[in-house]
Amino acid sequence: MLYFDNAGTSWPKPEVVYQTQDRVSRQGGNPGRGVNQASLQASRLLFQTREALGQLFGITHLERIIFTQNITESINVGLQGLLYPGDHILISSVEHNAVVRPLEYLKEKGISYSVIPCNPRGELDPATLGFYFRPNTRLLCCTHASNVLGSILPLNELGLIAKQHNCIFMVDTAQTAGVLPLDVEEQQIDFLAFTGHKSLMGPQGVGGFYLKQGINLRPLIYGGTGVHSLDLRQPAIWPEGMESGTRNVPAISALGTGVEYILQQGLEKIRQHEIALMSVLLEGLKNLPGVRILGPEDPASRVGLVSCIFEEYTPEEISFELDQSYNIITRAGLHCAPLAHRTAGTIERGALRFSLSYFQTESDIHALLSALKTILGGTA
Amino acid sequence: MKKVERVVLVFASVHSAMKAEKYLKSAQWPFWLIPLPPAINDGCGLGIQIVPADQHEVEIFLKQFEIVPVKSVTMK
Ligand SMILES: Cc1ncc(COP(=O)(O)O)c(C=O)c1O
Repeated sequence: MLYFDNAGTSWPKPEVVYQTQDRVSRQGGNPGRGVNQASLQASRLLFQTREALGQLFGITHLERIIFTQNITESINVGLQGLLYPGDHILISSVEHNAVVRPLEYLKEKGISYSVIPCNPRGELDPATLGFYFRPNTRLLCCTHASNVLGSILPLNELGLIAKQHNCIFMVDTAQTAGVLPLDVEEQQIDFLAFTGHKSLMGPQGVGGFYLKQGINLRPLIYGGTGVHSLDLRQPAIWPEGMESGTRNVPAISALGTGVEYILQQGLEKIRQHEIALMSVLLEGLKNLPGVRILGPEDPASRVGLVSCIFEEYTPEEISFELDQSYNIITRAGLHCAPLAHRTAGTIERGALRFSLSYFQTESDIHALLSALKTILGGTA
Repeated sequence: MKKVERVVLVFASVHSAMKAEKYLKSAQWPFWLIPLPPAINDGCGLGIQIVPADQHEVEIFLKQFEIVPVKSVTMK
């Protein structure tokens, strides 16, 4: 199988990730529940993953890293727990439904939002931003990179502007964590949401967020934390007060080893490999007949995914043919991001997305291009 | 089982107890992670028992890593 849906979920993972998940699944112990060798060992595993993530994201207050099931849950905790009736939010026009749907729901609670338009390639000009702030704008939320267009949003500038307007700056790092540098201090990120199963190379079922100390958050889920059990109210203790219910310890621990793998390889090497593969892919796609590539042209201005549309075929037809006849996995459709497709002008038909992995080689890209060439005809 | 006097550092969260464990271990202080009764309800249920004579020095040691127990208790 040639797997080009790494933006959906990455495959394969580093071997150590599979090994860790299997080993920890067999060892028992519920972190923070009772004090015995097994539970202590489970608590240590959570601690180690927080340490690895802290290193990757420049976080010193590790207790402010909270584990969830995925970034969708993280964003929900943030939006539902930070905002109050009357608040206004700003988002970009390439946000995922993980952001848009909670905000649509929050409209019922008197919270409003505005969308800052990106250009059709998904690029956001920070100079346009000031216009959209209102006196009651409390939060700016944007993805670090579009999961449809691949465009990278200018985080440093956005963080600065958010601070100038006294706003909480929330970043969805689903498509960039583990590939592009992220530093919560340098980039002034107050709320960093991450998901474990994409470029962080961890398993499915784990994600999380970081919230800067001093910012108050209402939990989304209330219940047992293992700590302060005499208290009938939710303890305001981080991280445990934000992690009611048993965590997915095998997945969290495996994620830790995925992040350690990334730290060992180095972001620079991972990113350079991605740019090299992306250059080959973009060049090859350009030479195919009837293909229109979405997003920025320069491989260095995008993350490791490219979406395109076809003159003669629907994205689903190509995806199905690649799957059935060539054993090549891709993703067609709207990618849970109708705003991004509206931005690109592809809301009616959707697009076909190819997304890359650190473990792929140029020959994998050539195999994809040659299959596409056979399907479409032409000279690539 | 013989009852002895013990000094126990109480932590607000399991996370901070884990952090304390990491540094105490690397500096080779003698200590034991122990369960605490619910009556000590301002802690996380997990305590770090230390040698009574080390108490002052251990507290200073932990403080440099911004680890401050909620309190220390002497138990019999
Ligand atoms: C930008 C972005 N945000 C959010 C998500 C949702 O991720 P998850 O399904 O892990 O919550 C995705 C991935 O699908 C994404 O690409």
